[in-house]
Amino acid sequence: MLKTRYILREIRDSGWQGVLFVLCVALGLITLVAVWGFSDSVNASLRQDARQLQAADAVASSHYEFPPNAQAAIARFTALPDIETTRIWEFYSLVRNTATDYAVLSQVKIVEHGYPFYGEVILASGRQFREVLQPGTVIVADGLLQRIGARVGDRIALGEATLTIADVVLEEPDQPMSFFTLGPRIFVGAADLEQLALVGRQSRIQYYYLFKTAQPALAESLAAELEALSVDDRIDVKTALNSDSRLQRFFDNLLFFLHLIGVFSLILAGLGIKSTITAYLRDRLKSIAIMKVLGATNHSITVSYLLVALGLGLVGIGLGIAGGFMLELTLPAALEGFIPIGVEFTLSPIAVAQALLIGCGFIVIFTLIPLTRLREVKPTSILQHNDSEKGGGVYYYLANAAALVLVASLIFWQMAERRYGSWFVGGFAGVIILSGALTHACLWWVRKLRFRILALRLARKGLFRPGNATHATIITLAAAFGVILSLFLVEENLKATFVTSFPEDTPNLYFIDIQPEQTGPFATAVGHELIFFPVVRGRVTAINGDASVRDEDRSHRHGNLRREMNLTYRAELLDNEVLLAGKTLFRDDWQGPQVSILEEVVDRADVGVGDIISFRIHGVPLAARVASIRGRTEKSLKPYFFFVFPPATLQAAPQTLFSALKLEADAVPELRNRLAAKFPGITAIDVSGTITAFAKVLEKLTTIIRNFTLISAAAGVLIIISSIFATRHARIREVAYFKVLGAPRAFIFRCYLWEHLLLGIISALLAFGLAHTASWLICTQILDIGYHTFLARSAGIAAAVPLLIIIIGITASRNVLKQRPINFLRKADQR
Amino acid sequence: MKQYILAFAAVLLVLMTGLLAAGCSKSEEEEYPTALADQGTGTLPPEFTIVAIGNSLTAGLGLPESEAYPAVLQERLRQAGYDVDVINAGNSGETSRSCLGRIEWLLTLNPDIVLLCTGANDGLRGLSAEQLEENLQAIVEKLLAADVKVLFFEMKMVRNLGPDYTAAFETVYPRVADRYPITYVPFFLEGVAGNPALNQDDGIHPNADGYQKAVDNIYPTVIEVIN
Repeated sequence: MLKTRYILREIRDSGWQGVLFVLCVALGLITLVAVWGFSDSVNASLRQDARQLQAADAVASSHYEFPPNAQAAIARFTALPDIETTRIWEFYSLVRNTATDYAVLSQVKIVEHGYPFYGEVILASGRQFREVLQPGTVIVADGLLQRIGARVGDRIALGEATLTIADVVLEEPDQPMSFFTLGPRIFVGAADLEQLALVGRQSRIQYYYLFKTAQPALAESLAAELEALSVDDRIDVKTALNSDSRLQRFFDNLLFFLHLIGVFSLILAGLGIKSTITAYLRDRLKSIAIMKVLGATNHSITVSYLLVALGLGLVGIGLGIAGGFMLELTLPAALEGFIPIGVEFTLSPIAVAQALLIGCGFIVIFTLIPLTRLREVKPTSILQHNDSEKGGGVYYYLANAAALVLVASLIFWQMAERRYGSWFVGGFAGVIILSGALTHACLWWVRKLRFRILALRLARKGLFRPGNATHATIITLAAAFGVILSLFLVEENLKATFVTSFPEDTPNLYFIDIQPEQTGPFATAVGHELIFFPVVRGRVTAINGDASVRDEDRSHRHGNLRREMNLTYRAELLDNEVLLAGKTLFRDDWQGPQVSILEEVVDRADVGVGDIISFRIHGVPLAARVASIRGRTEKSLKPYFFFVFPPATLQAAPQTLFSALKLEADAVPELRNRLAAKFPGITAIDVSGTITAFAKVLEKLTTIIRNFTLISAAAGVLIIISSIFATRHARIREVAYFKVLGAPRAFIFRCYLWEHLLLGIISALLAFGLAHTASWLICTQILDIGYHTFLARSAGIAAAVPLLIIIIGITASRNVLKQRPINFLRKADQR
Repeated sequence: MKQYILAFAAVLLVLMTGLLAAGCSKSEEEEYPTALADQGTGTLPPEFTIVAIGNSLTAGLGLPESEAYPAVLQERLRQAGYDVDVINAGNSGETSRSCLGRIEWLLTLNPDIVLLCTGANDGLRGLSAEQLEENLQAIVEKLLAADVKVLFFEMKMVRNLGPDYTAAFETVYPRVADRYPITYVPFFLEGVAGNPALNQDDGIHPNADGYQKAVDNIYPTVIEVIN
């Protein structure tokens, strides 16, 4: 009972330090609770909605008509009361306006009555798809109307049939999200399938069976049976559980990144907890010594303060859970348009349980580190005035090891993939090690500097006073703000590459297969300035005589060297290229064919400057020596080539030209029609919609990441506050001594200001350097994008660190500066 | 704190070293391997050079080049005692227009015989049949002007493009063949196209067995022209 009263009193009297401790715990948990809750809600919803995204519980598809054994199996399943089946046939065909004779290649989708089982085909008229799509009618995309100059109600010829356009399709649930399509969509009812006479053995058709099942398990067993019947994997079966939609992958990636920020905030919070408890215990050293005099054991003291920390921590966990839930509720608005409709965002019980578990774990471990030092407090210290830290012996190191294990386990748990966990742990360790080394170097340098100002000299002395945690404070601040600044820089670079640059100069219309003699007339017809890139098709047949390059892994994310490549020729680097190896693009002092390669080639094959790459260019063998390696400074939708030859080598080779243009989306159909009539061999590809959608996604993502980073920044501010508190007492005592020696208040203030300024400037400089190095590495090596320094803005953020340190430091000591020294010394003596 | 960081650093230093080692790249400037400067075979030119011109059906998209029809044909001819090189000059995705654009370049190979198999992509993209005919004529004229024997491959089009287009497309080939002194090769994928067992999963490109069958189809005509 006595112990309980004591613990409650300690919690009540914890004051500022208690508040700080609670905030550390809360801020550490907010991000993770929000991400856990959000991820639970979205994943549950995605599982439910996967069937909407494919319009069925299971979809079987094949380039061939399903073989009799598969059809028999499907018939058997369809006979079951719990399964419904419908069919789709998809292919390209020419659609002709019977009035104008304009024709366009279109993507035909023939559907049976049941389609879609889930989701909705949205029509411009607002009517129901199934009611509108009657025999003899079609529903078409607006692009088709524009290309053939037709309107709803007009007649079109498709195959052997003449059909009436009944409506315009705006959206279909299972719309393929491919980058390029050769033609606009047209829906036809299965009743007209025979009349079209387009589907048969000599046609190129994608055949689909869609299944609606009462239970998910039924869809899975159906999928397994069909796959077993599939010869050479020709039947592809997807169920709602294994569909692995793009949306799912999108959220997986986003949540992975947010988890990363969350884990980082929690680690910062852990350091904050430790600093706060250290300051708190330092103020209670005398009380602890008295307790020991009265017979309290180390064990009982440790347990008592652990309970105090847990009591305060539970308040922090509660606040963290509440704050996390509130943050979770802001995410749907930020991600509007991407979140499946109807997701219910609730406070997930699993998220609450995880927050309690991790919160308590962090509190116990990070509190134990300073608590182990209490073992060294001797009862005689009641009579001493020594605040210097003592070593905590074996328990201290055990507690540190436990903290390491806890942090590493948390990282590996949250990162899901061990590889990413290792990167995170490695990166974090790298930041700490580098910060430590640089801090030592900076402080060594500061020690050697000659200062004329007395206040500055005294401030420097303050940094090295015995027991002062200057090194640790700077490392913590530099690492914390370095990572926060890195997040800012990476986010800004992503934005600069994918969002800001898109509206400016990214082409939305691409022209391929332009013949060399067509460039002049084509540019005139387009009516805009065009840059033409020569394209020569060729294959790599060997590298340094080794032909096995052509059989390497085909699953590389950007394709492999085995495929047919687009080669080009020119004498200069492009604006968005830099030389990574080699002195010039090509060498004047080399004889024979040369080639410049893009850095991506080096990722795929062991090749460098001076190596020989053999090509087959339109049937003609050519061996070229690698003269240089190029890198791209910005990677968006701008054209790029793996292999660039000097003009003399390839100029005579057969080639087409490729060009790109930025054009208002409204003007695209008219231009395409005009060009199609005049240059039938040139294909125009319109990616306006893709670019807009992509830019929109990134804009929203960067907003979310920024908001999460702000929470990390808040945790960083808490670290500053707790660090100042942790070393506050020694500073205050020194200030009091100055006063006793007759120093005026303004002078002491200046000393104090300089000391914090020195601390802040060193931390800020280190954070700045670390952040730019880390961001440069992340942007260029991992994200594969160019790097902008954003010097002014990043310097501004870094400058906030010394400012914060000064404000917090001065605020924390303002009472001391106001007090008369004798009062302070008497008070200190009485404690 | 200092001890904490030192302990943290020591445990993870090994990990960092591993990461750094993994990130090291090879030196950029290396000795030029002069022995590899000459990539030629060093053998005498063959008695016959046959160049197979075409699109992915010739290039053998999705297969090693050694399984595409030009390599299979070369092997058969060599087994039959002909001293012949069959060069695969297939370009995936090529239309008749782009084929016309590279004829001059291919003639630098000094072919004795050209196997001309192009136009399928014109059809798959729904391009005009009239334009296809003009391009094919121009290609044939250039080859004949260079005194090359031409085996002109008939091409058929998938039915799903519509009867009007398919008919217009398929009548182009016999018409062009009638106009010039060239050897007309009936559809070389007869018995292959549309047969799942002889095609890859995409349903349009032959597999290795498909190409064997395709070479069965054209082999007698090729022998006839060589002789």
